[in-house]
Parts: sequence; structure tokens; C-alpha cells
Amino acid sequence: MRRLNTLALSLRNILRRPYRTVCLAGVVALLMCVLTGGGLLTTGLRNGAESLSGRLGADALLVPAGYEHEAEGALLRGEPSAFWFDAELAERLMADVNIERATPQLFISSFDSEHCDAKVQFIGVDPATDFVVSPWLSESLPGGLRDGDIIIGSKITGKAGSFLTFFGRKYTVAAKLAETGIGFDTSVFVNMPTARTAFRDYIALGGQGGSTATTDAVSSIVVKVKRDVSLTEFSRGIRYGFRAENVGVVLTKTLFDSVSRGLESMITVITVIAAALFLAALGVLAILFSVTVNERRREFGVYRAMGATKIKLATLILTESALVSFTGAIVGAGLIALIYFSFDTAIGLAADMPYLKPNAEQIAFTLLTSFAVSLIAGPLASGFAAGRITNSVTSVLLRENA
Amino acid sequence: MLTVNNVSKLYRRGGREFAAVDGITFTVAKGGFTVISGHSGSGKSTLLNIIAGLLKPDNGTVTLDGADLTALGDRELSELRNQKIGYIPQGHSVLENLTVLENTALPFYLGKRPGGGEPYSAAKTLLTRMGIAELAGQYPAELSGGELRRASIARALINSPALLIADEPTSDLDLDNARTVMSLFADTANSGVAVIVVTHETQSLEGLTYSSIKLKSGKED
Ligand SMILES: Nc1ncnc2c1ncn2[C@@H]1O[C@H](COP(=O)(O)OP(=O)(O)O)[C@@H](O)[C@H]1O
Ligand SMILES: [Mg+2]
Repeated sequence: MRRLNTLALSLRNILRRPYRTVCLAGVVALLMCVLTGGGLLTTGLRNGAESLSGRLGADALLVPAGYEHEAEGALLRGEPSAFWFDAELAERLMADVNIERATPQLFISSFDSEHCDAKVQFIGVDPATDFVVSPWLSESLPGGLRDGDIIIGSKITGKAGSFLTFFGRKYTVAAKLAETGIGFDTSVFVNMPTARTAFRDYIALGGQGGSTATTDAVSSIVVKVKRDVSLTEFSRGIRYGFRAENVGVVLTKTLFDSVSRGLESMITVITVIAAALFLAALGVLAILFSVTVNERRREFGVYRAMGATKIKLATLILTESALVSFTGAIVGAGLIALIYFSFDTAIGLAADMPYLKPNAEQIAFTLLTSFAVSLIAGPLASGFAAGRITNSVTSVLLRENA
Repeated sequence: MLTVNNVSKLYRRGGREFAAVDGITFTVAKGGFTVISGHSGSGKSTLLNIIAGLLKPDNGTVTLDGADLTALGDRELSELRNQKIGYIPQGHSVLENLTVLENTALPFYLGKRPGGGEPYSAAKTLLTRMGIAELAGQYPAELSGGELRRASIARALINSPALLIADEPTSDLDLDNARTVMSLFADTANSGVAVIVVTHETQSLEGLTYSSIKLKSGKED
């Protein structure tokens, strides 16, 4: 025979009232979904911003004037872009007095045709002067980039040792990068000689804008400014010194600031929605609990008449709501796992911002905190009803619907 | 054993105070069977609730085995109610989420049980005594009014109380069932329990020995 302790009684009351239980647990499950989903989205966006700042080891990008936005799009989202300087102008830019270090990069956007295996951004780096990409490329490829080798971003299909065709030419995949959450995930890195070959292929195949470019062109110059020179001073110097040549300056700090502003407003929106939903769920639960507790006034009166103390009665009500909350939180966790793992790649795209999937530890943390919050929602919402019923005079409770 | 001394309870209706129970005094000895009768609204339930410690009187004292119920805090009073008083409220009071047997055993689990033990064999014995042993595994929804009443008597007796109180236990029963229930109370009194039963009909008490208190507008008539 069963011991009828608080837990057993609560369980019995919950199981014998499936409709009521499902309604209450459903609200908690929804809450759990929203809290976990919001938490994971926020974490992914934060990861993306962090990854971006960690990979922006430069102060500025110099690009042809009018292409600043394209350059940002290429960096943040890997949008294929096509713009070039003359080699001669690039030499002069790199010699600017305010520059500490500078390295050229060549961007080539792949075709959507039989000539290319994937739609990507080709990025040629100069290993001799590069200080931005090489440090973390070398994590994947200690030997450095050899001619004809490509390093591919995490979202490009293929693995080390396989072959990919770009602009009608076959390349060996030397390594595949870890996910960065930014445009690099759909980029292909090559050294400058390889980039030149690809660029000649690109022009030969009639690539967009190719007719105006020379084969020794450069797309952007990545710059580290001298320490005693302010970024404003540097920008002004370039714009003035090269006013005839139309050079655009993209400051990475400005870029990062706009990303973190976007991130902050996104996080604010998510937090406000989650908080509003938490309060709404609490309100709905409080109403549901107050209705069900009220319906059961006589039942609780009987408990008191049999000798249950006020504390015992409150414990019984709070245990019931905690069990309902627990069930709802478990169901919600299962639901959000299903949703999250079916759509996790789409989430990053939909956010239109650097998004880097939360790691296992972050997922566990988000799940646990959301679980804890969902778990206390029930007892919190039923606390008021419990307090009211325990402080009612028992003889009054017993008079109800007798 | 039970002493009710000059107990009064004031209520307010339409801005005017009136005494629902007005200076009631009586005693019930161990094994005594007391019947309180009176018209509807005469204060019977109010008086019972005060005796059971479910309602504080505005005046007077209720003493059970030397303890003044009106002076106890919630914990002591609940414990005393659990151990010494079997209370059968008016109307249906069998909990619908538990079986008849579990309902009967429940008061055992609501109190402090330093010695542990289990109430189920005693509960079965009581259900047999009430003549509803075969209904032990049923849920209340499947029982008739008379069966429910007998189940609630069994439950009130599970902790071997010194005092058994029942509020209109026969009001929704036919005469045959009412007689059966009343004789169960008389038997309980004979077994040494002080029994107080409220009723507004006395037909079902024919042939039984009891002392009678009649209430009228809260006063003894
Ligand atoms: N909580 C209460 N507030 C106000 N009046 C009450 C309350 N409880 C009972 N009464 C009134 O007290 C009187 C006695 O009620 P009650 O003891 O239930 O009578 P009985 O059980 O004899 O029918 C009635 O007039 C009733 O309306
Ligand atoms: Mg009454």
C-alpha cells in the first residue's frame, strides 16, 4: 500500500486531473521554449560578435571609394564582391606615413555556373606581409599556404585532401577552418600567386568588372595604423592625400561598433520579449492556479478538518505546482531541442548578423537557467492562492458547495 | 472529557451583529452520545465547528481532555484535531482523487507519527465495520450517498479519536440508510468514544439512547 505523503498526494491530484495539468504545464513549456530559445539566440549573437572582434586584428580597410559597404558585406556575411585598385595605387597607399603595417588582399567572387563548385568569396592573402588572416590560418595549416592550395571556410562543402573546382581550375583543399560566424565561413583563402591565377581565369571567363581590372590588381589594403596616429587623423590623411584617386576607408572599429550596437538592440528586444513572456506566463499561471485552488476550497477544508496544518496545506499546493512546472519545463526542453536542432543553421542566416552556434557548455548553461526559471514559475504563481487558502477559516472553506 | 463552557459566536449581517451561537454550555462524557437538533440556521454547524477547533468563538472555552482548544496555535490545534477529533463535515467530504481505502487511511498520514506503522489494516477493519469493505478500491464517484457517509465515518475513526463529531450525517439519506448510520454512531459511542451528532430530524434515532440538546437562534431551547 502507498504511503500518502505530500509528494504522493500531489502526484495523485495531478494525475487524476489530466486536463488541468496539461493546461498548466503547457504554459510552463511555452515559457521554457521562449527562455531557452532567446538565451541560445543571444549567446550565438554574442559569440558571433566576439569572433568578429577576435578576427579584426587590423584598424582599417582601404577600398575603392563607393565600395565600403560591399567590403563590410564581404567581411561580415561573405557576400561575394568585386572591386579593385591598380597595383601602382596599392603600392603608394601602403607607403602612407601613418601606416605601421599594411597587406594587400585580392577578392574574387565565384560564379554560379559549371566553372565553380560553390558560391564563395575567394580571398588572396600575401603571406609575406599578412598579419590578419595568417595567424589563425596557421592554426589549421602550420606549413602555410602553398601555391595551388586552398583553405576553405566551415560552411563550404569539402574536406582536407579533396578537390574543388573554381573558375574552371581544380584546387586541393589544404585545410578547413573552424566556424567563425562571419563572412569567412563562406570564403576560400589562397596565397597571392594562386589568387592571381584564379583572377586571370576569372577575367578570361568574363567575370563581372574583370575587363576594367589589371591582373596585378588589389581589392583592399588591410592596415594597422601607427600607434601615435588617431584613426580620424589617418582617415583624413588618406582621403586628402589620395583625393584624386577616390579611396574609401572602412574603420574596423566603426564596423565593430555598428555590429555591437545591432547586437545590443537585438539582445534588448529578445530580453524584453522574454521578460514580458515570463510575466505574462506568471500572470496566466496565477489566474489558472487561483481558479483551480478556488474550485478546491472544500477539498482543502477537508484536509484541515482532518488535521493538516496550514504549512502542510501550503506545501501540498506548492508541491503540486512545482510538479506541474517540472513537467512543463521538461516538455519545453524537449520541444526547444527539437526546434533548435532542426533550424540552427537558419537561425544565423535569419539574424543577418555574425552568429556563432553556442557550444555545448553554453547550451547546457542556457538550458539549466531557463529550467530553473520555469521551475519556480509554478510555485511563484500559486503562492498567492496558497497563502489565501491557508489563511481562510476552515469552517468557511467547508461551507463551499457542500 | 469534553466541556463546552458559555460559548458564543457573533456574526454580522446587514450591518447588524447577531449571535449565531449564544452562551452554550454542556459536557459530553467518554462513551456519551449527544444529539444536537434545531431548525436550519439555529447555529448547529457553527457550534460544531467551534467544538472541532475549526472556528474561534468570540466568547467561552472548549476543553477536550484538559486542553483548551480556544487557546491553541495552529500547529497544536491541528495535531489535536488529527489525533483526538474525528470530524465529519456536512455534505460530501470524501476526496475524489483517492480511493475509499486511501481516504480512510489519509488522516494517519496527515499527523506526526513518531512510531511509524501503517494504517491500511486498521482502515480495512473499519470499512468492514461500516459494511463497505468491498468498496475499498473504488473511487468516490462510484459510491452512493449512504456509502460515502459510511466511508467518511471510517475515515473519522482511523486515528482512534476521543471525540467524533458529525454534521447532519443523514440529511441526504433515506430513512433506512439514516437508521444504519445513526446506529453506527451509537455503536461508536458504546465503544468508548464521545459522539456528537447534529441533525434536524430525529426519526432515524428511534430506539437509540442519547442525550439531546435543542438549539433555537443560537440558544439552548
Ligand atoms: N461565516 C458566516 N458569516 C455570517 N453569518 C454566518 C456565517 N456562518 C453562519 N452564519 C449564520 O449563522 C447562523 C447559523 O448558521 P449555522 O450554524 O450554519 O446554522 P445551522 O447549521 O443550524 O443551519 C445562520 O443565520 C447563518 O446564516
Ligand atoms: Mg448546518
